[in-house]
Amino acid sequence: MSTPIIGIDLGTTNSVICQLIGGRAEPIPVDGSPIVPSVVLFDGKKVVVGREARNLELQNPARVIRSAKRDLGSDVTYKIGRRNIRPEEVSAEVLRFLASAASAALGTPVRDVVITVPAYFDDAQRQATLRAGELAGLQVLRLLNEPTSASLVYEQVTEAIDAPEVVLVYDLGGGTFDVSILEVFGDVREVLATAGDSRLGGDDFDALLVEHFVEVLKGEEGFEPQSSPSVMARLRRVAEDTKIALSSQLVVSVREEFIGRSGDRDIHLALEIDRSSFDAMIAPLLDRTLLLVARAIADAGLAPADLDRALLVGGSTRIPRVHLVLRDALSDAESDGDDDPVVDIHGEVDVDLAVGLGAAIQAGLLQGAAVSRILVDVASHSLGLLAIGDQDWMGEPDTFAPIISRNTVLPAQRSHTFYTIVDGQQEVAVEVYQGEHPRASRNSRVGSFRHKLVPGPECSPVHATLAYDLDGVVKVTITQPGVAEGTTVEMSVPGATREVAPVEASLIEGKLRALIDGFPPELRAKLEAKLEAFKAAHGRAREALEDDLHELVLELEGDD
Amino acid sequence: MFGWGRREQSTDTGTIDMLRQELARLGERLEAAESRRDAQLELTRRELAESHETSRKLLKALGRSSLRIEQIEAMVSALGKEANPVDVAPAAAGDIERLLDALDQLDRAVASAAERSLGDLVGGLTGVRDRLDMYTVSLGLTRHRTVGVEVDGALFRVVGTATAEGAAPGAIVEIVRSAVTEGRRLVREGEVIVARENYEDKGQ
Repeated sequence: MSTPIIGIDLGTTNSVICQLIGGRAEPIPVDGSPIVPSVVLFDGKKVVVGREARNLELQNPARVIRSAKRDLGSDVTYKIGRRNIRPEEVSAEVLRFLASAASAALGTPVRDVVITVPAYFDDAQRQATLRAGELAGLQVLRLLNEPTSASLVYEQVTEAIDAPEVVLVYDLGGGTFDVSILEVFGDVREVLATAGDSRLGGDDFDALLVEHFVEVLKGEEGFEPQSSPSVMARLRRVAEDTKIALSSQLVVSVREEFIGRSGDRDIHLALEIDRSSFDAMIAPLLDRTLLLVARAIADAGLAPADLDRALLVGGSTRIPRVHLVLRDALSDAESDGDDDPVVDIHGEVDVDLAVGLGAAIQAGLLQGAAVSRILVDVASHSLGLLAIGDQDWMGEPDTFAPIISRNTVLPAQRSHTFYTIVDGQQEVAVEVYQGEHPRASRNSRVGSFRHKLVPGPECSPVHATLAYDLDGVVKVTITQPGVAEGTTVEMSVPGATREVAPVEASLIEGKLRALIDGFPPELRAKLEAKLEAFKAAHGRAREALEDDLHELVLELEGDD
Repeated sequence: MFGWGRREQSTDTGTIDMLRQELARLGERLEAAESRRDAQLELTRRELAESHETSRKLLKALGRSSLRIEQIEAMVSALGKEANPVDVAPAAAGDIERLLDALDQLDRAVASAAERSLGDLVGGLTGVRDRLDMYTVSLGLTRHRTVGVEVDGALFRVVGTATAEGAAPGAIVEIVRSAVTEGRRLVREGEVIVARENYEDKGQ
């Protein structure tokens, strides 16, 4: 059996181990999950790593070490019993655990690996990481900067450009935030600047929701939720579930029965929370990330307009608001005349695994393995509705409110809340546009319809949901909270999807053209028509045609 | 209230005073008895109302659960006998997750009713809970919710510690969320409160 090609994202909170197999990078599940907590429990002679160590942390706080990555390269030692343990020894335990689990899963020993490190790691921190790999019995082929790793994996899903590119990597994980500016040209990737906050992440968003729930529960006389660890644990879980649900829903109904007791009374948590309230809660935290983004861009001696792409990494970038604020922060006010004024933002890969997957790709490149492009159908343009915005106060409404962003993996469904502008408004004109310009008139109009409203006061919410499928059809649904009937209209979006496998596609085309050259004209014309149809097709139709062409090529090659 | 009639006014003053005092005492005792009875009635009324409200909520929750069970059964049936509903159908897995949450809430409802000595409600809720539990067993799932045993980090996450008289350090004293396995495979990690180490009890 050949040596496995392995990449490891050795994270502060969680780690990921991936392999390159058949040209594709894939995560290796450990203990049922591809994400492994970077936590180690030293229990006498026994060392427990990962989920189990994290689970027992509160019971054994003095024997558990987490986030040792923060201390790599420093003089810190952890005293556990009579042992003095260095940070690289803790990281070595995490690496050993990952490698051992991967060896068991693959049925072959894991030895040669690429390990990722933050771009801002200095020499001492890098040496400590190498030492951790050595202690774990691994051959570290290379230490790879985390943003570089992310750019490698995104390169497999985005269109190749024959020019130097400036890329921003926005990495918002559970507990840390990092932003990096990279210059990419061919195989060369240079980190121009980095900034970050090692105490900012999705856990802080959860904490804000927990605070909100606690305030609601405090309204119950005689009930002190904070005094009960079990109540707080339940609230933390509910908060995380709510945060995740709010990424796809506009309103989430939070229910947690029998959360506590006050005297003879049972207390139940029951409330509704909408996305805009959650967005308002996390706004100050997102603003902190944007300040760091601005600092990194300035440190690189650039302006937002100099950026070509922004790549999203880390689970918290799944929050729709993150995408929107980053889009706003990176749009260039001076480029109003440009048809495509904002930086291309990408989130097509699994944002939790991107760094680990990139490490496996780097390991493959170092070992001379072929790396395949990843086939993903994405929205080729942002899709949204015409709205009245701040800039429309004197003229006709012309604000474009994007709902499904460019490069969103399809099929996708996204919702947005709009508000009525007058008291007793009786209907709303729904005009669908696609494009990237903040002015709707500068984008392409897809279609329109009218929706009758149940009249209410000014600023009544109206929900718009766009469901975009692989065939380029968008279903637009307009509803009002508390009103059963909505309006749904289907529209075809021209040039809706973009396949991101130009290399493979041209290979098929090239092969087929070479094979049919000597065919009788009538037959050749038929096959060429099929080729043209393939080139013009999108989504599932394209996949079906590609399969047909593959089969045809194989048959023709067999005939030779 | 009691009052004196005209006819009694003709008897001698000593007897009248004695009768007056005796009647006053009787009146006070009766008032006290009435007040106690009213308080008892009010308490019973409140308990009945609460029990009714709790039952209503639970019946509603159970109604929802039954509906989900039907959906899950349909999905499981569609997947065939060999199918693993948790692995194969994410939608079914989500429904099972909600069913397991509802079972945890029923555990709490049973405990709450027991603490208030609402015997009939305890019996009823326990029966319903056990029937739903049997359904999860038929899916091949096992719920782990035993207190008093040493915590297993592979099954449970410790979310808090508490002082518990007589409990060994590390023993589970409260199930916050039951753990669920399917054979040896962990389907859902549980959450528990465990007994604190002794040295922590001493304030170290």
